[in-house]
Amino acid sequence: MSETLVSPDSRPRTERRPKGTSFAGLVGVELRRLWWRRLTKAAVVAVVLFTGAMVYNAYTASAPERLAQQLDDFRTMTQQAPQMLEECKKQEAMERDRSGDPAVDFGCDQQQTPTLEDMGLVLPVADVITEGIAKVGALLLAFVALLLGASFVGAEFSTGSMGTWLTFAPRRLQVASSKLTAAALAGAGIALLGLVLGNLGARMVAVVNRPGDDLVLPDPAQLTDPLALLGLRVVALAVGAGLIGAALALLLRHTAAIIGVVLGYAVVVEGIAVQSFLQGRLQRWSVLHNIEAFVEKGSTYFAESCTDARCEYTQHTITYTQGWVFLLGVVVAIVAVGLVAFRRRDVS
Amino acid sequence: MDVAVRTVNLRKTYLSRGSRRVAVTGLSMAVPLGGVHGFLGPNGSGKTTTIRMLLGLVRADSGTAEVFGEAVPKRLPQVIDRVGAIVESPKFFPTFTARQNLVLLAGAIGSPRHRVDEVLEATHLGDRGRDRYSGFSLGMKQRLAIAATLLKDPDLLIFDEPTNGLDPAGIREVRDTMRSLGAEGKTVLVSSHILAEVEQVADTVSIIGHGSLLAEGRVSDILGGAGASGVGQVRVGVASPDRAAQVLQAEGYTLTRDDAYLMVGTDDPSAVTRSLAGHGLYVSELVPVRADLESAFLALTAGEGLGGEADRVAGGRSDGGAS
Ligand SMILES: Nc1ncnc2c1ncn2[C@@H]1O[C@H](COP(=O)(O)OP(=O)(O)OP(=O)(O)O)[C@@H](O)[C@H]1O
Ligand SMILES: [Mg+2]
Repeated sequence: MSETLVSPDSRPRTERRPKGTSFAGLVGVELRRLWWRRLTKAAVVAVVLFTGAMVYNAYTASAPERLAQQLDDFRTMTQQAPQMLEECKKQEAMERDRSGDPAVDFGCDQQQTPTLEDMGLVLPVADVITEGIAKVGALLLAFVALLLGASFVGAEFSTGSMGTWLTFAPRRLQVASSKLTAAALAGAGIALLGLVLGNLGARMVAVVNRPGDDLVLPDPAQLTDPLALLGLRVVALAVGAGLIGAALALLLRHTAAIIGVVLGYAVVVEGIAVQSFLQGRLQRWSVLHNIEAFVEKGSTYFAESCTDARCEYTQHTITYTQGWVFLLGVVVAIVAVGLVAFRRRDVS
Repeated sequence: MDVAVRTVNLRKTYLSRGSRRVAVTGLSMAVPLGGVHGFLGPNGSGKTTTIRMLLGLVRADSGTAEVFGEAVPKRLPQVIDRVGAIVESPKFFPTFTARQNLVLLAGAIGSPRHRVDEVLEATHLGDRGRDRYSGFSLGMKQRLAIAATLLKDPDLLIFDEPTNGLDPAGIREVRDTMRSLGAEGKTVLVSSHILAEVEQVADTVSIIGHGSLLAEGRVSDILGGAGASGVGQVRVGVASPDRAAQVLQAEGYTLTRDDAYLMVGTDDPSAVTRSLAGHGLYVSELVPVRADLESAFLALTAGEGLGGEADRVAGGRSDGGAS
């Protein structure tokens, strides 16, 4: 007699048949899977490397020798400033004469007085360096979170294990929500990791690069916005990106397709269309501009506006409020579409 | 009759790239409680699609299905703990180990962690639990899939062509497993396009073709009914078949010539030898051929375009006949 796969001792020893798990239980399982994934480890390594690179960059940029060199250049420049202003005014006057238009403005006054702060010649202070890293790193952290969320769910479709999973947890909405939640938490984790490393690095830079007594530099301007709040916004952005990645995976089912769509959108829509159509007025609805408005509490763009006679570029502002409302709307819309699609569609 | 699974007028149309393909066309079938039920049909007849609908993976266009009396997919969450299924082929995360895959699934149903080790042991994967799934042989993958279904201690097991690609030992292992589950009182629904397989393991069978039911019932009845008017056949080898044919025809047997053999319709082979011996004709060979399975199946599923699979059906039959 050949052996069967089901010997009597394979019966559960617990008398009660397992009765499914709660939503929190499902999220827990998804987080465990996330933790076990190779891509998660790769993402952590990427964040460490990238933050390290930014810290290194801040370190070289604020090295005392370099600051001293720049300070020299600055002094030379300020000495020449009066001459340059004079030259500018002279050019402006000539142009006014030539065109007969007294409104011609070369903006000479604006070039007038660069300060040490304008030139970034300030004492290296940890918070200020962190702010710089957070602002530059926000987009990258968000992209990593998006990738992580997308492949976290995309892999389930490409390996077919989504079907297996649904025969264990058949409530589609609950299943999808647990995956989205895990992706959001992954985004938060990635962002926190980047911010914490960036802040630690910045503190080290501030200590290591503290100039000697021979180099006198002003303190940087006080941060107008508390660093903690900036950090929260960077985390929120990554959470949103993780959600979008996972939701797009529920919709498109292929990690590669998502990367294609996201990069395609970034290049074609954000990079080209938004700039070239409607004299640039579409920029108000550009995701990248709104991200900037959200993270940096406001963003500006230039759009051409024409009156009968002539066209000119004017500056427009995107407020912080618009930024977060817009981004929240995008996230909610994509998540909703992903959930609906996943609930309805066949899984093979 | 208590049923484990019942479908009524189940229908499914796939839409892909603008074209419509009706995969299941009003299928009504019933799987009795307990025992092994074969789900037989040629390739593309809609077996997998039906199973997917039962599991809520695919949404039916119309019709109803129920599992243990609960309407699915609506009330699937209420019964899913009693249903273990392997659809088409085992599907797990390739870069995770067998154990990791099972731990995740156990987590999904709130099954205690020690169950994972128990089911790994039960499926003889105890020492491979820490190996990646991607490095598993097909047989090991199949066993892991069975291990996963055992996490739930299900009352209904659905296996979709579970022996596909397995070697004879693996096939035997899976068949024995299904039989022992059936003997324990579990309901096993096993789809197959191989007649001999269903014949060997199943007590009851539903045969489908083109997405609808062709026949359903006890395997013995169906296969018997497919022969000449419900009567079995014996193949008779005898030195002078022509005379033997005359004798038997005179006694009212229906028979056909098959080269040097006679195919005689009867349920009592000894009567045939008696008749022939009475006329001085001695039987050199007498093989009961239970209804001609292959032709029955092919007749029922006529026009399904079995193609290369016909060979397998034929091969399977001669295995069955030799036993
Ligand atoms: N996801 C899908 N999209 C479009 N058509 C499909 C899909 N899945 C199955 N079909 C079609 O539906 C029909 C039934 O397929 P199904 O897989 O249910 O058959 P089957 O009986 O399981 O066949 P096999 O024995 O080959 O596994 C086939 O014609 C198939 O081409
Ligand atoms: Mg199939």
